[in-house]
Amino acid sequence: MNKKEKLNFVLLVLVVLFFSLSGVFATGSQEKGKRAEKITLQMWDDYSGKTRDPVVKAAIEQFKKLHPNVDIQRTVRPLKDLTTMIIPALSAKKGPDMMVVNSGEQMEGPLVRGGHLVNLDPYAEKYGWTKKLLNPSLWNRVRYSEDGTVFGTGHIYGVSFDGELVGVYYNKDMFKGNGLGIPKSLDEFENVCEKLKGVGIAPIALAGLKDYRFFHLYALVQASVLSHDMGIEEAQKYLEDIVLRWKADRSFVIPGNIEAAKIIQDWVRKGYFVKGFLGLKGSDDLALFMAGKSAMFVQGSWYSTEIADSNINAGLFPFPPYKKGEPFSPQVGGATTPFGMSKYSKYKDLDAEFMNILLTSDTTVRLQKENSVLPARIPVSLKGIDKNTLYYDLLDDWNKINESGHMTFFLDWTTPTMWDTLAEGGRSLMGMKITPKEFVNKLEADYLNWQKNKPKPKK
Amino acid sequence: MKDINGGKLHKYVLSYLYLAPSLIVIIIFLLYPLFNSFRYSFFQWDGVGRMSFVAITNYIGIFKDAKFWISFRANLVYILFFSFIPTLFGLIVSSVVARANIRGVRIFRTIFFTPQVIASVAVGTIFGWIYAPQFGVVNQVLDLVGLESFQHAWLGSSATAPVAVGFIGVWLWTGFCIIIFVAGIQKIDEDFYASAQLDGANSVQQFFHITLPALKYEIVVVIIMTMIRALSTNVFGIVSAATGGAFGTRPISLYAYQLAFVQHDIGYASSVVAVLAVIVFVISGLSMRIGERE
Repeated sequence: MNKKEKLNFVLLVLVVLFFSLSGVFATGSQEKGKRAEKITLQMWDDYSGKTRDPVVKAAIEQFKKLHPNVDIQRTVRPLKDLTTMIIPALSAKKGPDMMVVNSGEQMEGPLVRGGHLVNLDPYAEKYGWTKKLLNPSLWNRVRYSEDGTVFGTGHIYGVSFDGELVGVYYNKDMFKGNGLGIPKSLDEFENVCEKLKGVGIAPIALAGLKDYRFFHLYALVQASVLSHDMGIEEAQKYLEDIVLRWKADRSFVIPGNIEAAKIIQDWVRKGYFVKGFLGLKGSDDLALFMAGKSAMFVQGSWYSTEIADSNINAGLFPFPPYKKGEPFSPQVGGATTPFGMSKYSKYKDLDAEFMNILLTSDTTVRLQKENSVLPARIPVSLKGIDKNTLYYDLLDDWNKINESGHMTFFLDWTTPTMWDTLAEGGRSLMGMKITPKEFVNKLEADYLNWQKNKPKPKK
Repeated sequence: MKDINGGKLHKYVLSYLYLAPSLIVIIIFLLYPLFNSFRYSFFQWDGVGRMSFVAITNYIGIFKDAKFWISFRANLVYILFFSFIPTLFGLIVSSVVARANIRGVRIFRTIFFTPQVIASVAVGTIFGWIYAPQFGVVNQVLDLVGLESFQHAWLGSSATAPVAVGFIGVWLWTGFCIIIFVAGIQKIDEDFYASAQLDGANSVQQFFHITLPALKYEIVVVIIMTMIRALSTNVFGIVSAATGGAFGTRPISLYAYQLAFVQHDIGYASSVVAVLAVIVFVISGLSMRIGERE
């Protein structure tokens, strides 16, 4: 290389270095300048879509009026993406000030054990959250012991501003046209399916490739059967002991769980699901239901706005109890993905103030009702809501659930691997590859493995 | 003498200076994470709490893990459909078209290469719709031609889902293989074929005795590239979008992802990734050895 070439090379390297470093320093100086004038709170959430986004935006506007120098910067992603973002960020003592924190061992447990979340009890007491929002049993779903080894008890690490439930969406016109009423028992539900099938209507749309479609349905059927077998109080306690408290003396292998699996497998044999349902991708089942290709869609309230906006006349009823006349069966659901606070946030009081607005303000409730969301503030007044709408059915169901104080769970919360076990097991069950007993044995194996590996209380 | 030695040293140092930026990037974004991942494989760690050293427990666990072997089987299927079959089709098609005077060759090259520029997730999503039981193209075509009895939930059973995903690989990679092999064949001196023809060799003999040996290097490159895609990057995106890993389609890479980021078992996930890396290295090494130029 001659002298000229050498010089050119050195100049090139210097130019590249200059622009890289000037970018860094410029950002640094801008940030310094900003810190003197403004505070920015980082919020990572999955509250997108018609039902939640307006609520969050309105809360931000209200908060800004009180604190004009505070900006709230949102990063909105699907929950699965946020899980992979939040855990590494908090582990590195970085990341957002506030973020969604999925209940149980999906996110909350590991984060509490890692000491990355703020205990929200003082703020809950200051703002009266436990008095104004949700029934007490639902608050258990965001509690962990201080060492993060016991779920369902202890301190509050997350709060939710709305609720969710899983129910049975139905096409009112199909039901009316075939002389069908809302089923009040499992037998009546099966009779409805049989009659619909007889007139060439696919009774239930379900996407086999979407993991949680099966286990939401299974949890509903399970709760119905267990409430009949054990009585509703004992069934609720059994479910809480397994899902929340991981009690070693509880087992999945009980007749009720096996019968629930058998019921669903029998439904597959009888052709109660849309043709080819095992190969349906997520949301294709919703599309089929909204296109009038099936009569029922067993899923969550998060789909209610989309369904209400579709061309079908849809309603919702709670999954029925085992026998007619038995008490209201525990429904799947609870509070939506809770919202937590990072231990590394420098503005905890501001975070809590924003959370309070989001959780409890009248604007929040008004917008929730306008967007067909289930408010965490209960009971919800049904005044002014058209009885013939889907939203009325949802709110009515929500009030009944909170009044009963019984609610079953998203069973994937039980262990870190339960989502996978339920998804694979459910597909094998509905694909006739395994028996109901074998399915329940898989859940039991997963649970026993968790008993060996679950976090132990510190002595 | 002094000047010559000084000049050599200068060149030596300058060479490394030129390499430095790329080396730095590789070290920071490839080697360091690779080393860290390997280190994590000897620990039990949920990604947030304390790390507990468990030596080779994670690796022993892999041998007993039925889910890992199901994923391994899926990857073997993908190697067949993403690598071997496209290579074979590519060889056959290119041997036919490479020496023919076809009009619009550039247009065909563009068409064949187009699948390469589509993101894996988009490919998986589109094929998910193509295979959809209710309204997918495959079932609708079967219905149109009177074969409705063959309609199936292609992605909804462990008998068909891995193969259905595999066919995506054939679509994705055959065109690429054709392009590489055509370029390779066009480098072969026509005189060889002329001489062979004079000696009475037919086209099949010419293929095995002239074309195939001359394409050894291209075949190795294609097999290594397609196998790596079949083991890691491509299939991850395609399977995530098409099936989510259901019905025996989950590859090792997706399994490792779910272990790490859904089940929070970073240590075990790292050991799975380490095993996958070893498989990739072994296959690449073997392929290169077999295809070494004489």
